[in-house]
Amino acid sequence: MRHILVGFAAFTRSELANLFQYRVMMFLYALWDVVNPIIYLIVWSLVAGERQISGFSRDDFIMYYLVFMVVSHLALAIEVYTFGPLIERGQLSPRLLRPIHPWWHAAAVNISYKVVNLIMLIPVWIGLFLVLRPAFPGDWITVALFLPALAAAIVLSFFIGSLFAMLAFWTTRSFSFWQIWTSLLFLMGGQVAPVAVLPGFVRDVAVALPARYALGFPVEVILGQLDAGELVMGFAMQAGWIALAALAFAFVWRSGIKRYSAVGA
Amino acid sequence: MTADISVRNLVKHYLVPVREGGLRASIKGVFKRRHRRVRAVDGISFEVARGEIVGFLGPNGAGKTTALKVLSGLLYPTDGEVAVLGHTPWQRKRDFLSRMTLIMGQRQQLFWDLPGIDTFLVNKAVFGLDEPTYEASFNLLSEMLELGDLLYKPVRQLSLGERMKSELAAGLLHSPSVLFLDEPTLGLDVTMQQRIRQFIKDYNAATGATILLTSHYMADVKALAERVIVIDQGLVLYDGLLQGLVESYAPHKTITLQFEQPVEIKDLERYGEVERIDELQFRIKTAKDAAPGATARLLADLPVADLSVEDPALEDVIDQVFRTAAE
Amino acid sequence: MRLARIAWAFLRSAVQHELAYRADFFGNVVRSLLGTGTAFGGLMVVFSHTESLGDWNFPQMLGLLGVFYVVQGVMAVFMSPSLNKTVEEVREGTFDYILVKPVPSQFIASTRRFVLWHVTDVALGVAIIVIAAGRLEDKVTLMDVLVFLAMIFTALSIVYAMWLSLTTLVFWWVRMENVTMIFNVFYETGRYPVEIFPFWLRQALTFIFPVAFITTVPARAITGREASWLTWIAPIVAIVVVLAASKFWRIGLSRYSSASS
Repeated sequence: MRHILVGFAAFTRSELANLFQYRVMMFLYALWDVVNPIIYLIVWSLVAGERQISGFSRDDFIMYYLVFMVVSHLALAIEVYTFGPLIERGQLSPRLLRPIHPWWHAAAVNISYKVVNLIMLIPVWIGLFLVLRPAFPGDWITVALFLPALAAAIVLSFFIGSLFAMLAFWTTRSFSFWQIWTSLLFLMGGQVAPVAVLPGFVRDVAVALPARYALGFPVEVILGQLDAGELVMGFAMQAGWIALAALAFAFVWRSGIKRYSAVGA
Repeated sequence: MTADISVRNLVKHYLVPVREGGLRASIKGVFKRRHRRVRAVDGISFEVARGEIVGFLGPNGAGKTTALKVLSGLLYPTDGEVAVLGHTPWQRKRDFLSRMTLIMGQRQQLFWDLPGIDTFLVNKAVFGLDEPTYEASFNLLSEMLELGDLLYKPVRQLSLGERMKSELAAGLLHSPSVLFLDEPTLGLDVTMQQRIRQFIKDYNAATGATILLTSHYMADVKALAERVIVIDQGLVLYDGLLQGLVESYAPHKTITLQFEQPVEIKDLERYGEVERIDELQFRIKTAKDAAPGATARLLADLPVADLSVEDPALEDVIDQVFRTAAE
Repeated sequence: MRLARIAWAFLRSAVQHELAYRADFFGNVVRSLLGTGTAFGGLMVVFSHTESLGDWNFPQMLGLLGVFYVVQGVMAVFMSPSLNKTVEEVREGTFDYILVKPVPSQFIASTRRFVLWHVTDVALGVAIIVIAAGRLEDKVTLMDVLVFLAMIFTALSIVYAMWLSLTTLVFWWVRMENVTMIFNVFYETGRYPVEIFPFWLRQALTFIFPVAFITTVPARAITGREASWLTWIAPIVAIVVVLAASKFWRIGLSRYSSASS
């Protein structure tokens, strides 16, 4: 266990240093995380006007997308871009030769990426908050509940992103599959609209699928829009999906690495 | 002497899809893929004792790299038994990975945009080296490879040779007892090749590590390995001393002659195959047993200014091995 | 004429390249369908709660979406591949091979690569526009179509000028890893009409990063909305920015020539 912690810390240090070499690119990625939520913030505050839509006032929408901006950044899965290519180019081999599981390195890359991007995001976020000054509808309880929901969303999206990245063991078209997931996140994960705002049956589907729990759920939690039953149900769904994704992860890694080692590393 | 590496009947086959040219064939290929079985390694056995340096020879596609990858745990074999340091490599146990290294010439374990030292620190942590061990290993490698301030420049700014030195050092930081080196000198200039070669030799002498290396450059093999294993098409053609290889596969010697005045070629042809270098210089390939007699008669009959007898170049010997195998 | 022949040669080799990897084609069709399908779904969600967005109704928004994909497709086929390649070459120092060719450098830099499969985006975009036009309250007139085509042409000219300018930056700022990224971040705003944005953002998207001319203005023409003053100045803007971008390219080039050894 100790060697894993020490190794993980060392990976994180180097990856942080590595990413700082790409400040400009990182800034652009951060910008990307900002632009989309702003568009939908504007669209929905225009649609809402002075009325309430499925319990969301104009201020709620603004607050929703401001928090969403941070959550979507922290719960972003980058493994399809960082780990998938290693498999495709056969560059996984050096990592398999180290006496530590390669996914510890991948997790370090993920965390470093988010730390560096967060540093870029914070000033933009504060600026937007000061300009828009929305009322915060939650309280300290919702903030306290937000943290575990966020952590669970980060873990879930890491597992799911890794699953898509590992499709590269079998197909050169893992990217097309990945786009199915990003489409799902967009429509039913709370990006185009808060899940509560989705029309009838789409909302029921979204509540069952993992996308919401990997992205929009923590935002709903902090805004205090959910009643006790919905909260319990939501956390249970998060736990369930994480368990399922983790199982799939272990299985796919094992058979994937077997295949990688069978066809030529 | 204990065997650090023992390989018994190792087999590794791949199925590769067959692609044919033309539109029709590739449309058919979408629905029905035809596969071809590639016998990369087809039943090889050998042992390497602790502290030995063994050269792994063979043409491209002979199965050298595949064998090294199986030995270092990157590939599952199709069949056979392998033990390296008492471990089955492809289980990739922590103890196994901590005691061996695979260094591939073109592969990159260094962080591209960071100075090499960062990769060192990562490896220090990952291999769980404590400060004194790391320090000692670092100093040894840094001195032997003359790393100097190379480690403090971003890797992308290094030349190919400098990168190879850093790569070697990063791969050896944890003082492995078994080294698999795949083409360690590929693409380097001659001076750098010699430096790397000397380093491998010194490293083996200093640490008693077991080394299995492949190389395209015969000079590497000649300088480093007393014993060679020649494989082609997945089979071991020869396993033994380098000198023995020359003797059994090169039953001829080369006599190089410098004359004082022009001679008739047909006077030389009776001794063997003649190659004319210039007006007064010739090279004769003669059977090994016949060489002493031929030398004596050449000196007696013709106006010889200078004469030397040599074993053929190692490249030619290897070539001969493969040609014999093909026949 | 000679330039046309060269461009044709590049195009032909692109076709051959594409045919060699035609397996990718299906994957990319799937991706295009997913992209447009998702965007369509997004619009449905928004319009499930409203009749209009900044006085654009659903069919009109659909028309805008179509324009967005047509421009994106054309850009991805004809512009970004060549110019990204140029950025890469300047960085790696192989750009010199372009300079020694007896053909204007800007021409080669912007025509030597085509990624054909993105035509699927163009085709889907056109299909969306046709569907949208059919659902409009007023019939689309021939005049509308002509104005639309003219506006698409100006839009593409402006997009080209922007690509060229972004590419030119590489002469100063060698580590411009990803030009596409910069463009796409802003282009994303083109999915919605520029009128819905607050004042300062609207101004920025009209005059600094002129996405207004790229999607909103052509979409106005084809969805039977009244032409705004932007429609009338669009051709002038296009001419000015194309000339300016070309001038900027030459300035960058002279800097490159004097700076490299």
